[in-house]
Amino acid sequence: MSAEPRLRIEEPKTIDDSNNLLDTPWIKAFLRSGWFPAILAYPTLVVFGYIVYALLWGPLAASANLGTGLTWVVWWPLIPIFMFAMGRLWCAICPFATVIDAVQKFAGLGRPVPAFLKKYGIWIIDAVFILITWADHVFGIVESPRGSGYLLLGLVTAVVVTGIIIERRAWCRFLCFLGGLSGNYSRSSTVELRATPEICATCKTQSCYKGDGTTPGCPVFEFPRTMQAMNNCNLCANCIKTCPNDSIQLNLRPPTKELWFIARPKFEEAFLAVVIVGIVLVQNVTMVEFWQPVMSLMTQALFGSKTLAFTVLFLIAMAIPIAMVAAAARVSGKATGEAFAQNFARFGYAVIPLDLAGHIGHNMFHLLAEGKSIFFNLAGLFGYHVTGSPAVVSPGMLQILQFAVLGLGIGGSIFTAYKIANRNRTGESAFRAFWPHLLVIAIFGLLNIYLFLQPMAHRV
Amino acid sequence: MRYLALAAAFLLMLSLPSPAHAGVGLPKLATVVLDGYEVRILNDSPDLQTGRNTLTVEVNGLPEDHQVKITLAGPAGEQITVPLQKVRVLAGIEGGHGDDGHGTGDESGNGGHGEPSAKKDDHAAPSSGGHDDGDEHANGEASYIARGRVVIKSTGTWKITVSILDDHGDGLSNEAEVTAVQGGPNRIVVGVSGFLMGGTFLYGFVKRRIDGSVRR
Repeated sequence: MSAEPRLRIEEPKTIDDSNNLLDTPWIKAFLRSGWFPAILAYPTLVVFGYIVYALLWGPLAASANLGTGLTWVVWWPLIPIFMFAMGRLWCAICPFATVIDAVQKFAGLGRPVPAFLKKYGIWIIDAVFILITWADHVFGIVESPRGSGYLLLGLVTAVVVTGIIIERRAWCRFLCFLGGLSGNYSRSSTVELRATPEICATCKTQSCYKGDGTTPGCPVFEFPRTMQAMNNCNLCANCIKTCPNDSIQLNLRPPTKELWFIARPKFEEAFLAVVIVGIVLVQNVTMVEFWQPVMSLMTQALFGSKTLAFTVLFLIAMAIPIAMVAAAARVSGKATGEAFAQNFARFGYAVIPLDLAGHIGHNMFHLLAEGKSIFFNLAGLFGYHVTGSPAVVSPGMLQILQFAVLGLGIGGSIFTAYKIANRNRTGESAFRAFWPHLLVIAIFGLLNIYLFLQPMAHRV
Repeated sequence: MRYLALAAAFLLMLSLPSPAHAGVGLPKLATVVLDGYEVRILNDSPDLQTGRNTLTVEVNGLPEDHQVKITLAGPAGEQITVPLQKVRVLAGIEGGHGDDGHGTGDESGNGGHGEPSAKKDDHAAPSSGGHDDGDEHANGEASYIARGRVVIKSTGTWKITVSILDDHGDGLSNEAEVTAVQGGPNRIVVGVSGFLMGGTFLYGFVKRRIDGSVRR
């Protein structure tokens, strides 16, 4: 059974620069100008300021609070689509990043990133992400404008404190849970920023990392010369501005391509990808019919505490995908002679397209079935009282879109697992590595399809 | 592990003061029965709050030429007439949850998607039901929907006087009492956040100038 794995070591991929967006003069000029990303970042900051105000001082009913609508009906559903299309560009215009830059100008101490953050940053992100999801269900953060407001206020506080103490945008790279999410999703994105190795080989300035005196260096501690992944790059264009040799490329690429050739897969990143499967599962499963009887039974068994009952069920729901991928990694690794952790780390990334599709599909409901509520609330602000169905598209069209996205995600995940399996193996050896993960992805896919067929709860 | 625990504690600390007003739709402030009509008064918060409130009035089966008038009398002698304007109900795509004035809600303080009364949509039928359990009204049925904004300045018991006026301006009135509470966020949370941000900023600002140089 345990055949000798046939290893096929690949040469580093050459960069396909045939679709370099920087070959388009106006894109290059815009990204090199001082207008970018400020022209997008400052309006975003203003809108964010209003959202925090509305959440903290506005109406307590989610449906009447424009801040809730803008955050959870518009921004949260759009963000994964944005990440898929443009990587972490959101991070370049994110209000947190703008706040960090602003406070650092006046009070930044520029301390180096603590070693523990470098070592455990992604684990902290994993933990915070799980806790926020848990807290959302227990305390009703999404449905409560004040809850959302306190969450944002807490995040802004953490952003300001870390921004003042630690250099560059350490928050974005090592602590932001959305950064962790977008880091994973961006690996599936259709754009990649790369440097041209031949040009960089002769470079003496390294201004892309250090800055050139006018424009700062990479805010997230990336060195484009050696960068092979898009999980950290914010597309802030600092390196495009500072590179004296025009080495930087901004290439279009096939979606998910980066996931096929991850040079140094990290267990914690793969773990986060699998955790997101659990989060999507929890978001959906709590809306289906059988959830309530199960919750009631569990509550009775756990001293009548709903919070405790939810926490136990939440942990089980989160643990299921992790256990399934772990089991697949065990079987796959055993068949090919690969260590468990390495197999988990390599194949864990394969669920990212499914994560992305699940996230987009789930939130597409909120965006397209509730989207008009934003206009009703906006009109109300100006004294025009209108109401009506908040749906933007018909239910049938919505389901078609949801299943189309889900289908693409399942296909993307299966193809990614296939490519990962075939990366350094061929034939039967590759198949033995592949099939356990194929099975798990298929189960996740079917589970998502079932859950998407169930009635869903509105946010506003 | 220590850091994970710290992160958890931080999040819990943030979440503890957060009142969970889970559920969707507008909360009902009061129902007044008047001349056979049930007048439902909804607010954009579960209670009257100090600050701005947008009240919505719904009445089923009210004739076209009738109007509803609402006045609020505050504990400090305030008299406010709510400037009600009829809400325009737009025709739209079916399958949403109607307008924002209805839907099941939940005030149990334990919200999120997991609550039994969180509004669900079967992607096809408009849902019904009021903020209070068992209330089956739906805006789609209400012939009169009007909305008006008022600013409440004092907490305590407010008296709502509802009048239904016919086309001659004659009509009947009835009253209900509601409680106004302090609006806005928890001051301790905002204060602690402000203190942390302001304090760190001040520390950085001063320290940087004392040290004379900043690592970049």
